[in-house]
Amino acid sequence: MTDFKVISNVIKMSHLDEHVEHKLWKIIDYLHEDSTLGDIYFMLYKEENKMFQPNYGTEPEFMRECENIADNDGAFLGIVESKKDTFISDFVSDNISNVSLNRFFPKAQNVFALPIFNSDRLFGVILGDSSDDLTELEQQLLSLVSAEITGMITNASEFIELNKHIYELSTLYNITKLFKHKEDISTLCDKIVEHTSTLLYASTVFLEIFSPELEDIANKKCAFNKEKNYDLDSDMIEGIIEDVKRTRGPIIIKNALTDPRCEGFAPDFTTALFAPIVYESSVIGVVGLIDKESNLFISDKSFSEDDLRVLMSLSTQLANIIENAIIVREKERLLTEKETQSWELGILYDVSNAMMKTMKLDNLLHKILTAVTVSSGMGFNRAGLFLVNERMNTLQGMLGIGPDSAEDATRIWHELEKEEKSFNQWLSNDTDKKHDGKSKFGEAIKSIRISLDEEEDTVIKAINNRRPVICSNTSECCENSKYLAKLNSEVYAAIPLLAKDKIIGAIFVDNIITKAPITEESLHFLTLFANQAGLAIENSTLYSNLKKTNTELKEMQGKLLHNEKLAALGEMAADVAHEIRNPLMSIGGFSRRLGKRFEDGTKEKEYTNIITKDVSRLEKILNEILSFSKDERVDNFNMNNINDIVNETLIMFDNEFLANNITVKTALMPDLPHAECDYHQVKQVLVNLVNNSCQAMLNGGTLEINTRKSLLRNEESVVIEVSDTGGGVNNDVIHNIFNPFFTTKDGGTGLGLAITHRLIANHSGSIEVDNNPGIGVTFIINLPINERIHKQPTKYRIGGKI
Amino acid sequence: MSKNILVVDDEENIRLLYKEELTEEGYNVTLAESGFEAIDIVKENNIDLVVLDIKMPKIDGIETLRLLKEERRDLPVILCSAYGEYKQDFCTWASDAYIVKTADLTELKTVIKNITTKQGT
Repeated sequence: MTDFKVISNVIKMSHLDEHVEHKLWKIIDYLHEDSTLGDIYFMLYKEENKMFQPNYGTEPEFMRECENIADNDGAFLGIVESKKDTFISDFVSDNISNVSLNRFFPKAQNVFALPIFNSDRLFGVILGDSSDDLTELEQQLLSLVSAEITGMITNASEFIELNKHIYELSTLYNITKLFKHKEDISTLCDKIVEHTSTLLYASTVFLEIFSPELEDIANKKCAFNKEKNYDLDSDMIEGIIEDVKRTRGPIIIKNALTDPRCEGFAPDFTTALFAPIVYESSVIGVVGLIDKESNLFISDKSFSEDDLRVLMSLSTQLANIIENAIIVREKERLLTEKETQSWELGILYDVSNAMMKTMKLDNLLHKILTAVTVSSGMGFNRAGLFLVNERMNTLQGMLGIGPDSAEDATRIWHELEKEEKSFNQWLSNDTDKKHDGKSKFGEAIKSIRISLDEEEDTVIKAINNRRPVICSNTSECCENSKYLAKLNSEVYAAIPLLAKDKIIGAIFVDNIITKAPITEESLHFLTLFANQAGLAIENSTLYSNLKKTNTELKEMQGKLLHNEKLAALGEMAADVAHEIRNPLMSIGGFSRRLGKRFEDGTKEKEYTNIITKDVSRLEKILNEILSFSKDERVDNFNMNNINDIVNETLIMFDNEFLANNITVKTALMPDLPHAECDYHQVKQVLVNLVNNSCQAMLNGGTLEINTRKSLLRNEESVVIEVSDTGGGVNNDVIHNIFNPFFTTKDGGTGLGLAITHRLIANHSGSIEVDNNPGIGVTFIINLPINERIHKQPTKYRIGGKI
Repeated sequence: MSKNILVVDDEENIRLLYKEELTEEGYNVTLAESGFEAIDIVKENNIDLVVLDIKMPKIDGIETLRLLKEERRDLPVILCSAYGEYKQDFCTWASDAYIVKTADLTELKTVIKNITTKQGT
């Protein structure tokens, strides 16, 4: 054994680019051949079970038979403890203490044991013998060789360890990369199982998920195995999984044959590792590894704590993936929900915007149904709107929009599509109503009247219960709505229209053409919409009432202003009248006197007569103006017999009746109750009326005056009717007859009936006109018997055939 | 023997009209243009009836009426005014008649005739 040569060869061999084990074997073979040494063996040390395992020897046969040797066995104990190269000469004589070595070298005299170790670990021991005593130099040489081998193995094991870590890391990285893929979680599970198998040298990896949140992977089971199929559904595995679930911790089975969990079964594996997948403190799955694959450094097929650590981190990652998947799904669901909501809100906003801008009821109803029917809105095929008619106690069809037939629908929808209008454009359109109301469906809706008392009727039920109903003609409820039968609807919904808490109507929808089902969601949305629509309709109604009231107020204001003007005019007129009266009296008086001096038939006489007549007319106008403008505050109310006043008035006109050939008929109620009134004012009223009649009957006619008992505002009253046959008043002007200064007569002042009306008002009575153009006119005066309890303004009414 | 009638009015034309018309009817007509003048005349003359205007300067017809009735309770006074509404004033109730002025004096003449006839001679 040439020292330098040996050592240089060993170093060369230790640096070959080969597997470390092969290099070790080569060195052993070389030592055996190239020296005086006998057989050489390498015993691998297994720290886990504290055994030396035969690995290689120059006597292969012996190696095959050689058993494991415990590390406390004889000389081996010394090796483990001292970790010193040991050279034993006189081995035979010393054989008692070296029993364990004896079997290797039964005939040897010189035996050596070279432990291969570094600071961390004992890798094994090289055993050998030589026939000759080993010189000191040879011993040093062997120690050098052993140091070289130690170095080689240390390097290699570190290299392997490093490689393993790199491999682990890259596998883990691959697994993490998988998480980022937007793959479906089920495929992802399959891939993870496969990668885990390579990562942890497991012959079988399986994954079971029982998360109820994820329907598609709930109860997902996947497995990957390289060699054989284990029965993953076996009671034993299930039992273990149950244990994992219960303890929420990992389970390591080092040896299935001895493990109590496997008792009673015939496990077809040796070792196994199970870890729970925990999400929100509940176990949503289990990942399991079965049978570790052996390799040169890991040969005992059992999983280490490191494997468990990796598996646990894997299971945490899995939990994260599943959690992510759940979150993504939830996010998607929320997003869809949000989208729906924002669509609904958008529609509602547009609709309520449009509705708020629409105050005319028919436009509003049209907009409501447009929103319900256009495809960019709710897209129902047909929609009808009913409103409650409180006066008639019915639900009344107002408007219906929808095609009559499939062809009709295709045509209309095609047309509408061409127009390409947005939802807003649909709503902002006030004029285009070409597709509605005129259809047979629209006509049918308009012809529907449902009594609100028909509580069994579907629509009435819907509005009474204040919730929508869906009906199909096959279901029982529809038998009750005979009203809707004419709409030929197979499936329809009725939605109540509410304004605050008041029921104001209902909306009818169906999909008669497309037969699309009416979903709960669409119904829910329609209800929301109906509330908006109800409010808008209510607003519109309120608005129109407001408008009406406003107009009335304006009229009233106008009248008041007019009255004020009149009062001012009256005051002025009174002043003027008084100033005029004296000169008039003077002119009239002297013209009369002058007239007396002329013979009849002379021009002078004619002229003075004209002056006299016109002065009287002026005086008459003055009287009437004064009696109209004068504030008649000083009334003289007494209990008077109206019949007497009538008779006295008639006497005043005796001459005129005679002159104009007027027949007078009276029907005065004999026991007419006395009425509390101002004698002169009532007389003035009658004088005015009779005078008017006489003026109307200059060519003769009949004047009829009746009196009778009656009621006014539920109180006893007296009625005086004055009729003539003077041809009545033209209907165009009948409304004006009570207005001051309105007259149909030549030379009339237009104050007679205005004064009459004022006097009747002063009595809290009423005056009506029954005008029959071409025949005559009847004035009906109603005076309360006890005036003092009726201090309210009088309204006159014009009736008859106007 | 014809009756003596006093006409009181602040307007000359009206006084003239009354005088001519009533003289024609056979009355002796005296004229006064104010209430005070009228009272003086009544005190000094045998007046049978007074036709009295209401709206006059200085002293109006209603005050004149009061003074006249104080002087002679039985003296008939006919108020004759352009204003109809004074009829409502209770102060005018003391008069024997109230006539709204008009060019046609028929009513006035009738009332005078009625009153003077009742008086006898």
